[in-house]
Amino acid sequence: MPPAKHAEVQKVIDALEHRVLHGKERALRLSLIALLAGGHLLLEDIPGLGKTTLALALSAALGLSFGRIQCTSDLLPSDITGLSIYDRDAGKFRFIEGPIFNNILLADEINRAMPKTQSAMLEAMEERRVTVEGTTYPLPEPFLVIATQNPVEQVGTYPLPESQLDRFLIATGIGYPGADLEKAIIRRGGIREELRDIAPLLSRDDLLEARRTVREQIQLGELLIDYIYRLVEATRNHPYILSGLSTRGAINLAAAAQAAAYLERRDYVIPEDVQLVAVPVGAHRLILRPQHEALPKQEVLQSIVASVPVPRG
Amino acid sequence: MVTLRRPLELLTYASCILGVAPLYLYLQPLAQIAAPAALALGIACDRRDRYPLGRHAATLLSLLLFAWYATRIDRTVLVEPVVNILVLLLAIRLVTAKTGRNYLQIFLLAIFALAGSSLLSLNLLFLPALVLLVFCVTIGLVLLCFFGSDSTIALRWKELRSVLGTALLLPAGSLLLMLFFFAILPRTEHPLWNFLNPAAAASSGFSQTVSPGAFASNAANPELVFRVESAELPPEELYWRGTVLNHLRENTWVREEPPPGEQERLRGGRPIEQTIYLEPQNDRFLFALDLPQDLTGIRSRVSSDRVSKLATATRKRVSYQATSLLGARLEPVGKVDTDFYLQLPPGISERLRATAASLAAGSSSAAEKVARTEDFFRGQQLSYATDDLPGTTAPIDEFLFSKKRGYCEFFASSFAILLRLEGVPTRLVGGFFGGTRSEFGNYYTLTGTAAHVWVEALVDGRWQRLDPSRLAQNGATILAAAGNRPQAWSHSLLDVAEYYWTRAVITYDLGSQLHLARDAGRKLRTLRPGRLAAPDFLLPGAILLFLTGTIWLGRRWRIPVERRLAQRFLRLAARRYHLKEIPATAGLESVARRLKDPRCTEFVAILSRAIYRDRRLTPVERQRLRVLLKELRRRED
Repeated sequence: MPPAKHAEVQKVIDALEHRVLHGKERALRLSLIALLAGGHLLLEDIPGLGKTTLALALSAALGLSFGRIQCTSDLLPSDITGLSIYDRDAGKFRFIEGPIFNNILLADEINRAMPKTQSAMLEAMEERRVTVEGTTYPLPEPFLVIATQNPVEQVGTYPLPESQLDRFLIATGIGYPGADLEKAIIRRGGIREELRDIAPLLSRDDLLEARRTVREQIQLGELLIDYIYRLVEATRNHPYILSGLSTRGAINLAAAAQAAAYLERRDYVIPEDVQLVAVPVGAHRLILRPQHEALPKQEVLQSIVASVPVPRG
Repeated sequence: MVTLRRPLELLTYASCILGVAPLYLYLQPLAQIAAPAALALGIACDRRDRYPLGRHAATLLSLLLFAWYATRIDRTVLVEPVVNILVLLLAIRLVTAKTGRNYLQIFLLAIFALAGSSLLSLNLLFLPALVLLVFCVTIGLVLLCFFGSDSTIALRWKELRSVLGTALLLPAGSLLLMLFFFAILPRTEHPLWNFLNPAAAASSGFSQTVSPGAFASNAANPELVFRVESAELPPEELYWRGTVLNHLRENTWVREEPPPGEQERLRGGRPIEQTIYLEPQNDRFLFALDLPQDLTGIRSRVSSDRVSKLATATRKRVSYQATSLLGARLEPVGKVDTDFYLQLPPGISERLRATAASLAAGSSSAAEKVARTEDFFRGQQLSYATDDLPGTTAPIDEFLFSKKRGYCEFFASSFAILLRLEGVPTRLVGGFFGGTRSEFGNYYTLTGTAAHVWVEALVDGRWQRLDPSRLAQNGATILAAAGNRPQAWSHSLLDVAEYYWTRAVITYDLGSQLHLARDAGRKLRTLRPGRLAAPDFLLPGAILLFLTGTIWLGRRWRIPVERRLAQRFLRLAARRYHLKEIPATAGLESVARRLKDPRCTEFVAILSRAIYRDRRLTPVERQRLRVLLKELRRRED
């Protein structure tokens, strides 16, 4: 018996995979894992590989309200959160909601925004509320930030601080598509136009129920808790790593593994679920020692995953 | 969570029972009552945590008891008072509040009590009691270490199991060492318990004299007399020679030393080897299958008439080897002192004399006289019986002519008297007939009920065995029953355990050690590759097997069945892919995915559903997994 709303979620994956996101299955599944686990998603890759397409397609298929910010160096915090203006007719200040008051917020090229603007999103991502001019406004449920960033250092970028990186449940790249696939894409051109035709496949209530199922009904056994702990502990004791996974990282790893198990139609987590999400959930949170900074974090974490024995009863 | 006090209490109760039980029957009534009462009261007190006896009162009482028993100890009565004191001290300790030190005292007293029991008797119960006590005390001591640091300490079940698992290794190891040291440690010919405990000898149905009519009935003693390890023999051959009674004094046959210069030799016959385990006896006679040729493994003296006696009296169990010649001729060398074997006391009835005269009339051959006497016995319609026997005044006369019932002593005695009256030299042989063959071991058991007397007559220059009891009209059935008495299954098992206990422990002494060492040395010298027989490997192999088995089982016991099944599955998968090993970081699901076999998928699904959901496999699931593994293995083949 599949978990609740599994069929609907699966429909989203199938539809997007077949129609618009060829070659981006892994990124798509990770995005859904982030969504089901109630976390935020950071898509990290060079420009032009379909990060924004993925974010747009996902938001279109989910039938949720959608807001988009193109981050630039002159973007102000109030451009995201909204601001109060004086309403002459009413004779008082009225709060105009910014794009953050949507279920899905696409922050494109987030590292182009200056730190002050980036930090405006911190409270929103963690607390799911926004405080403007002393008044706190709750954000809609669900709330998901999909941010994209270009890893190559470019003029006018501000790297995301560790504290903010830690708030993204999953960070993943997209990667180049395969040769045949890329040729097909070249042949038929971009698919941005097709995105407009995607009808919502999953209602807000469906999504909330699926999330509740992931949280409450996907069992995380003692053996798996122990396994996650051993993984986290290994990152803390690794000679190349200055600062390993935080407790928040461990919690996120467990939640993501539960979501991964849900996508596999299982109501319990197995070690492979943890292994699947370990790098996307953990790598971006690691701080390497200065002398090893040049190493890709993903590979360091992958080597740790490949060294911790899995529990087998 | 389990408070440590609870298992510690259980271990002390068990230790007390194990220490006192083998001793119980030898205790005085006071201790016999006090021990179980104190145990019951102690358990109740521990539950309520209220004790009737204070610390000082207990000490005072202990001192009083000690003083009372100390006055009763002397050189001859040493063990009994000591064991009684031990048990009473234990009883006092049980009904007082218990600190770590007190638990230790209880364990020590239990060990001393068990050791004390070995001074009184060393029966089969001792070994299991010792083994269990070693386990209880060792585990108890380990728990006491924890208890000593904090008496309120509580452990989780898992922790307790781990502590107990580790603690179990100590006694298991020490018992194996005990086995080793038992075989090689030096020992004396005179064990301590034997020296301190001279009164434990048993009396068998076998007697040194034969006086028919001494008792109105003959109740046989069912106690074990000896066991014989030998090949299986026809029942009619099972005559175990003990003594020869060659002199009739009034109505009693006694043994006198054979006439000086008399010699007898054995001719012909089929040699039969036996190993005999003799229970403690009041006399020094040694038994062997008729006719014994040679006795080894014990210091003994052999008379010319093939009667063997221990060189020195002993009250312990002994073992020795004997070689007998079945069906041999026992021939006197040189002239026989016939007068000695024809002696008769005065007071033989006229009727008997007349009968003898008529049987002997017209015949000069001993063989013919024997045959005629046998015919006479048959004609008298005598019955073999153990009650309503002839009286004491003229028992032989009464047996042959009026009562016509009696047991072997009547038959043998009257037959021998008749033959002597007829001029045929005769003597009685006392020993045992028959024996119960064990269903599980290669040995016979002889009890007092098998005691028997028969006749040897000098016929045609040889001592011929004659068993007049066979001439009884019911002789065939009675003697056949003596040959092999059926035993209950449980009794046979107990008997075989006792036999091995006697063989391996009780009669294992310096002689056996030397024998073992000599044997090993000889085997080593003559060692040729490929020429070793299977029995050479049997004992070391069995010990090795036992050790390996214990370690393996111990390790298996600690691994949950779920993990064992997972390991078996992975080993199978590795073989299938010709991999050395599947890495420890590979999950079961990914392995199953690689195997692309629906059975593997099902196996992993069932197993994962249990282990990753924090539950044990149900019996049905376990069964299914085993079936799947079996199928996978078959497919692999």
